[in-house]
Amino acid sequence: MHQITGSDLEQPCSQARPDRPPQSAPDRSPLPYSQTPSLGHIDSNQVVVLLLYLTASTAFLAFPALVMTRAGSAGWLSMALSAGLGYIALWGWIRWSETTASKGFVPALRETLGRFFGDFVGFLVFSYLLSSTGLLARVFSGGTIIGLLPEVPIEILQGTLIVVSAFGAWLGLEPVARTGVVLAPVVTVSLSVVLLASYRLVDFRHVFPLWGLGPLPVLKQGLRGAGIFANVSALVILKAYMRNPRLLRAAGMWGMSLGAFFMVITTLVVAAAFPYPESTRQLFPLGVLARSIMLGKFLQRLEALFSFSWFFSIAVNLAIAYVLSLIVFSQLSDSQTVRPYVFPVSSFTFGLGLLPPSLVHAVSWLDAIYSWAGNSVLWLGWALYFISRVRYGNRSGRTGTGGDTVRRREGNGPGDRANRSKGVVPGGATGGDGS
Amino acid sequence: MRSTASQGTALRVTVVGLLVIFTSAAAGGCYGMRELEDLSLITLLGIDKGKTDPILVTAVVAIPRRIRPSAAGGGGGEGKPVVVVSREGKSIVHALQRIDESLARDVTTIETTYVVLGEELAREDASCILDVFTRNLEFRHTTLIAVCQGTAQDFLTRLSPAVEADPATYLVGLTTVAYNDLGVSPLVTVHEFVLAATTVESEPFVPYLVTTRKTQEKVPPPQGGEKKQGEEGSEAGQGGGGQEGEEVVAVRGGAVFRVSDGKIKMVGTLDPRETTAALIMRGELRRGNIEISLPGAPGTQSIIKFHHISAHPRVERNGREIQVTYKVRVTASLDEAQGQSQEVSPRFASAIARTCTEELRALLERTIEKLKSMRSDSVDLGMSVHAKFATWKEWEEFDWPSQFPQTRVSFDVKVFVFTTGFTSRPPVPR
Repeated sequence: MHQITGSDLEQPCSQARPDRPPQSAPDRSPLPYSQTPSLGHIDSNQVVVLLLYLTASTAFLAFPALVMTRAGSAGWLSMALSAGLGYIALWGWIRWSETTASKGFVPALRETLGRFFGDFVGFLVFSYLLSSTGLLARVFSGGTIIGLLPEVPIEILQGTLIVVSAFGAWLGLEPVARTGVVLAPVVTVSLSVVLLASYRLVDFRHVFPLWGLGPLPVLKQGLRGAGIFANVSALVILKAYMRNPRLLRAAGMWGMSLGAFFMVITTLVVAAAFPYPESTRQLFPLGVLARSIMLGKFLQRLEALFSFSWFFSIAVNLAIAYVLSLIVFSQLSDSQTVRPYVFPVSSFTFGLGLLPPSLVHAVSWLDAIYSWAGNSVLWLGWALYFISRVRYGNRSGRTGTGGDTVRRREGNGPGDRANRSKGVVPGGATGGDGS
Repeated sequence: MRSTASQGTALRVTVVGLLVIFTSAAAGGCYGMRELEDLSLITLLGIDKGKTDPILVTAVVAIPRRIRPSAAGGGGGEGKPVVVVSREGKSIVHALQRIDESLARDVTTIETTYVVLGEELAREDASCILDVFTRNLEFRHTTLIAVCQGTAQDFLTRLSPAVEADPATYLVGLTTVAYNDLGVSPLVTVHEFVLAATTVESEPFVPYLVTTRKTQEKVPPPQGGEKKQGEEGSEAGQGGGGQEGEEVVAVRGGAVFRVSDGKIKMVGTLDPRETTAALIMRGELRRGNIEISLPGAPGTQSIIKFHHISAHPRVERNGREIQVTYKVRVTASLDEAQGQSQEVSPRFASAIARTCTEELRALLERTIEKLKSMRSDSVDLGMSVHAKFATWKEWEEFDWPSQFPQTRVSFDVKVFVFTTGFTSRPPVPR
């Protein structure tokens, strides 16, 4: 089996797969999705890790403190409620993706909503990804200046972060996913060490009064904060790149579960470490927590570990967000490639990130984007599913691009191998854009 | 084809290489770097009330080559290992900038291990330290904090430890031992101080340091001299002649604060025994001891050493009435008994446990009543009480700071003395 690597990027599928004859004549019409260019392929385990980065990286920033501001000491309950809503919304995306077979995101939108509205919704999702990416880079850079490198200009930090992330996106989805998997244990271990080492600062009596600012504020924040899990919608964008799309549901649930667990635990630890209302003053509570750890003379600067996990997770998060943005934009423009967009898109996010006049504005804008745009994107899955059911019933769930029966290509990753023995994955030739 | 491929590889290697160099340079903090030898490292920071400006900052700046022991490679022991500089300013940073003007190096608080507050400032308002430690990256949250008797300037100027070359190391060791091994002092970081000062449920509680004499000789009061501020109640005067013995620093329990009207005011002190009791109520006591008179032998002092201590407050709420019962369980042993008491019997062991229990209960009750009279919840009782409230609004309406003195607190104490030191008694004690 031909192993798709980074060198296959931007090559039409027919060139990437030597067992297929080259196209005889250039076809200017939009190619069906199964023939769009390759960004590599990922297995279900990598999808889980990518979703974890996308949903949980914001815990490193100001969001635990923002949740505390609106829900008080019960911020962790709000986060748990948001996570529950995230599950429900994820289920909507999964149900919708089942009605669109192996189509890419934008082609599937077009199938469900028609060309105009499909592109319109796709553009909105693209805008959401782009704006959240730019502001996330800004907020992270601002946090780095406050917490680590006070004398470095923010443009340098933000530029560095964006260059690194955009370079990852330029390499493709598969390298980004592999990087994410490699760094995931590093991030997890270093963050766990920081959280465990802060045991002396944690007092679970701070979590009381249990309902914080009251059941209604907790409920409101739970609804509003669900937008932070909007990135689970990336599952349907990534679906087409999975070696075995049949594992989409399991991958989505695992990714969401890990992300939700991480977010709830983080919020709980922050609530227990910083009694309300002090918790609301912390711009980057986890960073402050890491700075406050004192384990004796030999382990004085445990916060260095936090810096690793902080930078790695945000950089991978941004790289994934770039890849997703590029995929959506590439599909919207019906182009065969993503690389020409890397520089403009990253430059745009660089400028966008510098728009807020201060870090406070940047946090506020990012919060608004997650709250409103995020929630809209989150629940879009169910809306699309219902529209799809109304328009097509169950028909499209069993059809491919041209109405033919979908056959998925057998994957070669660890996650796929695990299922091959169960006979779940049929042989086939579709499923990714590189088929 | 080969040349195209190799060109592509070379391009990729170049791009990745430049990226690595760029990232390392930018993210590694090379921008705006300051060399270590260009810095003046402040190891101890004293904050007092100023005369012309609001704040007087005293900085103990380390001279590393003098702190290094002589055996480690020369240079040690030549002159004082630190320089003490004081300047007034409108804020801490402003005063530090003035200190900067008089030193050839850039001062930094990145290595500051202790902040010492002068008592006058602490009694008036200690909130001046909150902002800079919360906002400024150079001020570390792990810095320890204490209040000293008198002014911090005087305290730090006269601080010349005999057992450590570095005064900061000495001060940290002093309070760490007092907290960990003796249980007679709290050990508080600025982070914990800030949390206690900014929440309703607790009040700051920090070590209280005094300057005393190494020997216990009586010090004649200074003839005709004015008493210095803060000298009242000190064990030893500070203006005596040099014949009474060298001055040393000692921990004398804890300084208790109360936050009201936006000010953080020191409202009193707890002596070392009361501090032990307060640490028990805070659930922080690791080791400690209590002195009791042996049963049947009044006036015979003995030391009961605590091995394991647990204290769990049980809160009952009836409307606005709060009843707290601390369940205190102690495992202890008799460490020393003055005199010739060699009594060994189960009855004697039970009597010791009973006496110890009563002593400890009395100490705890005395301490909580003292804290109530100072209206300072330095034992974090509010942290346990607020669990009885469903929402923050209810808790705010309850107004814990005003309710704390009315709270009924009782102690269910049980002390298990597992050894009195002997298992058998000589037939003819001598």
